[in-house]
Amino acid sequence: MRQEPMWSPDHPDPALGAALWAALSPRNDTGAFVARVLDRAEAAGVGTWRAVLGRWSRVAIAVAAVLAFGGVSLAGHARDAATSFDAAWVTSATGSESAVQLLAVHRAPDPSALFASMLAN
Amino acid sequence: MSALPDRDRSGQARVDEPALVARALAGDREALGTLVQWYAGSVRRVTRAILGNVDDAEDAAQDGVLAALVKLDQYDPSRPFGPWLLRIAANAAIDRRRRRTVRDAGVLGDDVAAKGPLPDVETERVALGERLRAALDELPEHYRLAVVLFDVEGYSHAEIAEILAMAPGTVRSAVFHARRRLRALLDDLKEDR
Repeated sequence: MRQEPMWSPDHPDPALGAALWAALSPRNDTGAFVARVLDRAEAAGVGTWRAVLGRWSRVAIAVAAVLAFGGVSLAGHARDAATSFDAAWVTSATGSESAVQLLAVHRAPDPSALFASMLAN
Repeated sequence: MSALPDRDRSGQARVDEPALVARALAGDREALGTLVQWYAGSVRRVTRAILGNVDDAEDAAQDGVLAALVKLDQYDPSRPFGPWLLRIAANAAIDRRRRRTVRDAGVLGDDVAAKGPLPDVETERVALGERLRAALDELPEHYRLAVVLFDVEGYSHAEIAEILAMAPGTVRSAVFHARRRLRALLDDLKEDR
C-alpha cells in the first residue's frame, strides 16, 4: 500500500503550483485582454472626466450638506440665545417670571402658565 | 515557468499600488492599463479554475476586472489591491457558474483546437493540463479556489480568507484536502510513465 505523504498546508507546494499554473494560465495574449478591458471601461465611463467630475460633485454635495446642517444647528443656538435674552427682558419689564412663558416662546402659551400669571398679578 | 504571480509582490510593489490606483482614478489610462496588466494573469487563472471552460472564464475575467474598475473609488488604499480585485473577479465567475443551466462539456481539451499533431512533450503537457483541470473541476469550489490562490497565486491563508469570505482555518483545511486529491493525480501520472 502506498503511503500517502503529508504536505504542510502552511507552505507552498512548488511542483503542484507549477503544474496548476501551466494548466490554468491563459493564452499569451495579455495585451489583447488589457486592451479589451480598457475599451469596455472607457465605454462605461471609468477614468473619464465625467467620472472624475461626478466623484468631485458627490464630495461637494456631501460637504454642502454638512455645512447646511451645521448652519441650521448654529441658527438654532442663536435663536435659543435670543429667547434667553428676551426672557431676561420680559422678567425685568414685568416683574413676573411666569410672563416669560406667555411672551418669549414661539408657540401657544400653556394654559397653566396663563393662570399662574393671572394669580401672580 | 514560475508559480509566482505575474507581478512582483515585494514590498516595493505594494507601495506603488496606492499611487497607481490614485492615478487611475484621476483618469490616467496608462495607470489603469498597468493595474489591469499586473493582475490579468491571476484573474484569468482564478476564473478558469472556477468555470473550467476557457471562453466562459475569459468573459468572467473581463466582467470581474471591469466591475472592479467601475467601483475603484471604493477601494481602500491602505489594504492590498490584489485580494480586493480577486474577490470581485471570483464572485463574477461564481455568479456566471451558477447561472449556467447546462453543464458545459468543454472543460477538457478546449485549448487544443485542430492544430495538427503536437510534439510528444507538448502532448504530455496538454494532457496533464486537461487532467488537472478536470480534477480541479471535481473539487468543491472553495477547495479549488483555496489551492489555486495559495499554491499558484502565492497568497497567504489570511489573504485568501478575505477573498473567499471564510475563516483562515477553513482555508488551510481546504488547501490540505485539495492538495491531497490533486497530488494523488500527479503521482498517478508519474507512475504511468
